[in-house]
Amino acid sequence: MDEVRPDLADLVDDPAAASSWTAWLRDHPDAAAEVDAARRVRALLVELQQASIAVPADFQARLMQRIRQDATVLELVDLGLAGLGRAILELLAALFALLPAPQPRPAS
Amino acid sequence: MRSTEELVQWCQRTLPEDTRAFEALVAEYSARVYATTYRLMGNHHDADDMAQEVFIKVHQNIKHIDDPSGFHSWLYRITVNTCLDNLTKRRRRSRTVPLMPEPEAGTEEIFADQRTPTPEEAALQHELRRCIERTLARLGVGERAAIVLRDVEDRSYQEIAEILALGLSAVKMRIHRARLAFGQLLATICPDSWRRFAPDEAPAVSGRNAHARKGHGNG
Repeated sequence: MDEVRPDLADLVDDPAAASSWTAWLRDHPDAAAEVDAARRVRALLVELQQASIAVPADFQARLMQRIRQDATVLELVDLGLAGLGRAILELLAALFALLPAPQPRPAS
Repeated sequence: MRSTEELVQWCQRTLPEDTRAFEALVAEYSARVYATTYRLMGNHHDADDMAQEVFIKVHQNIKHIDDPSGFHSWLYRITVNTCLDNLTKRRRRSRTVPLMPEPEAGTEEIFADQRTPTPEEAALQHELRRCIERTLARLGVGERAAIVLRDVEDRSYQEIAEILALGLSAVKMRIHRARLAFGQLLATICPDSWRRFAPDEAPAVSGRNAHARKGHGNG
């Protein structure tokens, strides 16, 4: 029966197609019962299409606040990374300054 | 009123410094995105989190859209995948915890029908929707996504196949099985609602796309 199940889904969605299946369904009562059950479910769920769902009144304000906060954090991270980079360069420069200057090798 | 393409191009030109275009885009699409996240997540708290997540991804990635006319389907894919990723992670973390909490008290307030029902109709609708929500919450992630996208969101099989990265035949099979699993669960959880939709009493469900796709424009 698995091989016809995709067709049964079509049959549930499109009652116009049912006439060509009438004889087959009569010979396959299990499949006919499945189609009936699936039609009932579709009829139930279609009810939900007719309901509109209200968005919370402050949805957009909260979203924009969150986006602005994220942008601020990213800017701070950018600034922090730039500052850290500068500090590392300064530290390296200071370390190199502490190293003894290379001595000229005496001529042999 | 700007078209979607114009809004997307405006965002691409002005983000991140200027967010006015993005705010206009959010105003235009938040209802559709929120409806989808609510239907997939099953409660306000998670729907809100996921919708926020979706728009943050849009904010970060809208500059990379090459074809602004494909924005609708791009946004829909991000919305569904954000919810499914979250549900899958949650399920992976704990197999013993239900997929999501039972719909919270007061959930009915989110539904605002186009016409005013009588008190009896309203009570029945309320009860029915609570039953549907509770039943959907107990399905597996894949099954839930499949029937929500097909029967509630009214998406085509082809579109669902692309979003779920499955073949067309596999999608049809999954939807059929999901409907059967949903029916069995509903018959246990809310036998009265299930009986009301017995073949003799069920309202006729006309063919594909019979109901206008609410709030989905061309998406």
